[in-house]
Amino acid sequence: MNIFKDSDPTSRRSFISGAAKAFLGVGAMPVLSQLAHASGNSGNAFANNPILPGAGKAKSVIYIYLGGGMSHIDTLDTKPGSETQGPVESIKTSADGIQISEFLPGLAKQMHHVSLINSMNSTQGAHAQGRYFMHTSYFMRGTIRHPDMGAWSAYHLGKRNKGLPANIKIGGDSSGLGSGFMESKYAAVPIRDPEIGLQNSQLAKGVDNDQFDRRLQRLKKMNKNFSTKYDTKQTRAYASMYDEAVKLMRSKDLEAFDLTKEKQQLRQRYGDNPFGQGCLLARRLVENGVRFIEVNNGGWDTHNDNFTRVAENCESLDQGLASLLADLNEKGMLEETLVVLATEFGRTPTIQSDRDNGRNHYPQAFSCLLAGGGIKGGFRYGKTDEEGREVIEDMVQVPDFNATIAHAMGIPLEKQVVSPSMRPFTVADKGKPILDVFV
Amino acid sequence: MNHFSKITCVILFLSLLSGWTVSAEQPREPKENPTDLNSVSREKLLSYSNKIDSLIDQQLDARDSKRNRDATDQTFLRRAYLDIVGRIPTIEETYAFLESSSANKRENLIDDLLQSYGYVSRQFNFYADLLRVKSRIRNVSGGPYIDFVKDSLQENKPYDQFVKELLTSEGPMMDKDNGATGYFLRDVGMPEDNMSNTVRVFLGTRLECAQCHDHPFDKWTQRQYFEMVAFTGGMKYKTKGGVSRQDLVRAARQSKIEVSPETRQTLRRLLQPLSTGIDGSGTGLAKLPEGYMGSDGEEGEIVKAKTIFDDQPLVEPEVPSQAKSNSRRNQKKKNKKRDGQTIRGAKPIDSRKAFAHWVTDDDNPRFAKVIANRLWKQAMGLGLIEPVDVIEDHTTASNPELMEYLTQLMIELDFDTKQFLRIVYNTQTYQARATQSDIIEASKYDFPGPVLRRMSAEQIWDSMLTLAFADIDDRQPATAGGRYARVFGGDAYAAYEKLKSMKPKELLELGTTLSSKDPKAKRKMVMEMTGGENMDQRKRNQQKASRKELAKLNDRIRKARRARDAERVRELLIERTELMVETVKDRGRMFRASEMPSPAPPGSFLREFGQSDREEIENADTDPAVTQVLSMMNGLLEKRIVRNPNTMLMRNVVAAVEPREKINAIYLTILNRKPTGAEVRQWSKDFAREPKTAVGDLIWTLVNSNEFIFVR
Repeated sequence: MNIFKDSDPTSRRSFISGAAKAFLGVGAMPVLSQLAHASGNSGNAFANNPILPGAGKAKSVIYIYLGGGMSHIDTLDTKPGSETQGPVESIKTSADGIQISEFLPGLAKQMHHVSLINSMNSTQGAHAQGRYFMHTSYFMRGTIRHPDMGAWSAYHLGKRNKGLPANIKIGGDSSGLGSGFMESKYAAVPIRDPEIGLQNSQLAKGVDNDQFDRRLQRLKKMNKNFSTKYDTKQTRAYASMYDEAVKLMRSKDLEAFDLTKEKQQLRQRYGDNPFGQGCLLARRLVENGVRFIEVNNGGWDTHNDNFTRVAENCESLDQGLASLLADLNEKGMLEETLVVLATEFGRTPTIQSDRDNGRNHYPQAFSCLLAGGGIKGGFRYGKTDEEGREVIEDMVQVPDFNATIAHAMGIPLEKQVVSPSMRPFTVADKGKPILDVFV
Repeated sequence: MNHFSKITCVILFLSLLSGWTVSAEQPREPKENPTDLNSVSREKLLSYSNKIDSLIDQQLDARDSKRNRDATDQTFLRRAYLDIVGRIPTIEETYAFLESSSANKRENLIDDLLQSYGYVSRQFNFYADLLRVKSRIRNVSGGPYIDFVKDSLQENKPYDQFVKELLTSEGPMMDKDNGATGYFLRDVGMPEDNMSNTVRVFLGTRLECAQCHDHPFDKWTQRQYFEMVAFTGGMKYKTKGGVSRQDLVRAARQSKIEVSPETRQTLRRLLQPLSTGIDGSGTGLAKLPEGYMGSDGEEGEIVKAKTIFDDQPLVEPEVPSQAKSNSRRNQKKKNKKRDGQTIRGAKPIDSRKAFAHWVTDDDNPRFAKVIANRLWKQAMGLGLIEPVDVIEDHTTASNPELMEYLTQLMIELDFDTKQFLRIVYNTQTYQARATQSDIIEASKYDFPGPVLRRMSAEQIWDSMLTLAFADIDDRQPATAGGRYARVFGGDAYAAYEKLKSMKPKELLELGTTLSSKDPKAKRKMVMEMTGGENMDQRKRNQQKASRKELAKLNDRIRKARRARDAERVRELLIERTELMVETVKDRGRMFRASEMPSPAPPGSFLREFGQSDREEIENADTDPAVTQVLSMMNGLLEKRIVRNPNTMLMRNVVAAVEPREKINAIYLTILNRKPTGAEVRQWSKDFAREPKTAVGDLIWTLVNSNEFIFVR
C-alpha cells in the first residue's frame, strides 16, 4: 500500500483519505497511474532542461554492479610507479592518453566509447550501507526504504514495451533494494539465472495449451462470480493480473529472455559464465524496450590476496563488458543505451601485507564508468592523487553520479515524490549531473 | 508416520465411506494449553463484546446504516482460521466445525484456536513485521530474538511487560532468555534511528523527521528528539565477557602457536556471539550531532533526557565536567571526530528503565491506544485510526467512543492481548460478512463488518502447506544451523555455551583446525567435540527407516492389487501418502512461514507475495504482481500440489470414490466449503470428459481463484 502524489506534502487531510483508498486500491489510484504516464511521456522527450547536453538521450540503461567494492587502483585508476600500485601494470587503450589496468585488455580496446569517473567519493564504508547509497542516493535508515535507480526510472518514465517489465535485475542478491516506499510494481523483476530467464513464464511440464485454456476459462468464471459479490479494486486487479501474465507468457517478446536465440559464437564472445550471459541478456532486453537492467557481478571484497582475486574477477568482467560495448556499437544501439559500471566503494591504496596483500574498504576515492547514451568517449573525469588516496579534482559524490544517470535518461531531477510517511524525495537526492561527460 | 495422522487416516477413511459423518465427532487433538482463558469469564467476555457492538451500532444508527449480515459458518470458519492461526483449516477441521450442532461452536472454535501454536505462529508474523525481527543480526544468529518473541507469545506475556523487557534488555544476546536484546542489536550502532522506531512502533508517533531538523509536519523539534535519544545514551552493542583478543595473543605466545590470517578470521567469527549484546543502562545524556539544524541548541551541546508529550525528565543525569567543555568553540576538530556521539565520563543511571516505565505506563496517552488500534486492525482489516502510526494531537478515530473504550479495555485487561483479540473475535461485528466494496475513506468507515483482504504472504504460504502436509503447526528451532553450530553438535546456543567454557589455548587449537584446509582434521574435530553424535547422521537414519517402511508398504499395495481388493488398495494408498508427506516434510525444509528464515530469501515465494524484508516497520504488502501470478499458474503450486501425489489434498482425493465425492473433497480442502450445484455439474462434466486431468485442473483453478487468496 503505497501512495504518491505530487501535491503539497503538508496537505494531510487528503493524504489520509488517500491512504484509505490505497489500502484497498493496490496502486490502482487512478490519479497516480495517470501521473506516472504523464511524466513518462514528457520524460522521454526531455523532462530536464533540454538546453543542457545529454538530457534524455539514453532510452535504456544497463547498470553493471560490482558487489563487494572494486579496487580502483587495480582497474580503472592505475598509479604506475607508485608504491600503492603493487605488481599491476598499466596498458594503453584505444583512447589517447588513457591507460587502465592490464587486467582489462578487452575494455582497453573499447575505451573510445567510455567516460571514466575517477573521482568518486562516498561516506558509506560498509557493504550494505554502501550498496544502498549507491543504488538509491540516500543513506540507509531504519525508518524508510528508498527506491533504487531502476524503480525511479520505472516510476517516472514507465514502460517502453507494454508487454515486458520496465525494470529487470539479473543475478545477485541486493537484499533490501527495490521499489522502496513506492509501489512494488516499480521494483525490478528478478532474473536469478540468465540461462533460465523469466521464471514460470512457460506452461508447467505436462500442461498443454488446451488444458491451460480450459483452466483459464474455469478460473475466469470463478473470478467473475467472486467479483460480482466482492467488487473491489484489488479483486479486479488480481483478476486482470492473470490476463497480463497470460499476455506475457504468449508475448513474442518473451523470446527476449531466451539466450538460445543467439548464435553460439556470440554467446561465447560474451563469456561462458553468468555475468557474460547476463550482459547478453541485458542487450536483448534493451532491444525489446526494457528501460533499466541491472547486471550483478560479485566477489570484489578482496581483503585477502587482492591481486590474484582482482585478476580473476576481471576476466569475466572484461570479457562481458567489452563484448557488450562492442556488440551494442555494432548493432547501432550504443547511442541510445547508457552502460554504467558501479560499485559501493574502492579499496585501500595501502596494501595490507599482513593479509596476503589484501586491500580493505575505501569509500574516500573510487572509480566508476559510463558509456553510450550520449556520453563522451575516451574521456576521463576527475582525478585522485598520485597514490590514489584522495580525490584532488572534480569530486563526484554518489548522488551526483546517479543524477548523471537520471539526466541521461530524462528523469526530472526536481520532481518530488512523497512517501507514505509524507516525506518528499527526489531521484538522486539533489545530486548535480556531471554535464562534462556528455557529448 | 506420527500418531495424529494414523488416527486421522483411519477416521477419515471410515468417515468417507459412511458419508462424512464420523469426523464430526472426532475429538480435537489436545494441543498445548499454555494460558488460561478463564481469567475472563464467558459472561464477562460477552459483555465486553456486546459493548463493542453497541458502540458500533450507535454510529451505524446515527448514519442510518446497518451491520452486514451474519457471516455463514463456512465463511466464519475460514476467516477465523486465517486470522487466528494464519492458515486455512484442514478437511477434518472443516468438518468438525461445519457438522457440529453446538450452540457455542463459534466461541469454542475461537478459544481452541487461540490456545494452539498456530496462534503463536500467526502473531509472530505480525510482530516480526512490526519489530523487524531477523534471523541474522550482523554476523550472528538472530535466533534468540525470534525465540524471545515466540516464548513471550506462547506464555501470553502481557504486552506492556513484553515491551518493557525489550526496552530494558541488557547483557549477552545468547544468554538464556535474553533474546530481547535483539531489539537494540537489530539497529546496531544506530541508537537515534532506534529511538524513532520505538516511538513509532509503541506510541504511534513519528519522530524520525526530527532526527535531522525540526519536524516539518508535526510539532517535534530536533532538540526534543535528542532529549528522547538521551534515555538510551551511552548504550553499547558489545558486552564484556568471554575470551578477549589479548587473551588469545598471550596464549599464542605462551604456547608458541602460529596464528595464520585465516585462523584469526575464524576465531573472530567464532567468538563474535560471545561479545554480541547490550551494555549500559542509559546515561540520560545525548549530544546534539554535527550539523545540528534545530531551532534551539548548537552542535556538540549535551542535552539531558526529557520525554515528549509531557516534558518529564524522569531521571537526573549529571553532565560530566570534562564533557562540558565540549562545545563547538573549545573542541579541536580531530577530537570531535574521534568521540562522535560519545560523551566521555557519562555514568549509567538506569535511564532506560525509567523510559520503559514511562512508555508502557497506563497513563501514557498513546501506548494502550496504539496496540488496541493495531490489534483491531489485525482482526478487522482497518484501524479506527489510519495510518496506525502517524498519530498527532488533533488525530481522531473514526469512532472515538469505541477507540476510547478499546483503549480502556486494553488497560483493564492488563495488556492481555490474547483476551483482547478473543473479545474482538466474539463480536457480531467481526462475525459479520466482509464489506463487499471499496472503502473510500478510512475515517468514515463505520465497521458494518470486517474489510475484504488479500491473504498475507504468510497466510498464502501456510495455507499451501496445509494442502500439502499434515500437522504443520509446530515450532522449529530458531537457532539451528549457523556457521559453526555443527561443530558443537547442536544449535547456536550449544555453540555459545561451549565456547564460553573454553580456555584461550583450546580456542586457538579449535580455530586452527576449523580454518585448516584439511577436511579430515575438521571431521575428526567435529567427532571429538560432539562425541560422535551428528545431527545429519540422525536425520539420515530416520530417512532410511521411512524408506524401509515405504518399501514394505509398496509390497503390500502390490499384493492387494493382485488380489483385486480395491478397498484395501485405497486404504494402503492413503497410508502411503501420509508416510510420504512425513518424509517429504523433513526433506523439503518447508515449514510454516514463522519457522522459516526471517525474512525469507529474496525471490522466494513468500517474498514474491509481499513478505516484509524486515528492514522497515510493517513493510509487508499485498500488492499484486505479474511474477506472483506466473508463480501460481506455472510454478510451485503445479509442482508441489497439483502434480504431487503425496499431499494431504491428494489423500483426500484418493479416499473419495465417485467423481462427485472427489469434487466435494477438493472444494472442502481448498475453499472449505461445499461446491454449489452448478459447480458440481460443470466439474462432473470435466471429470467425465477429461478423467486424467480433471483433478489437477480443479485444484489449479481453485487455488488460483480470488476466492482462495482473499479473506472474506
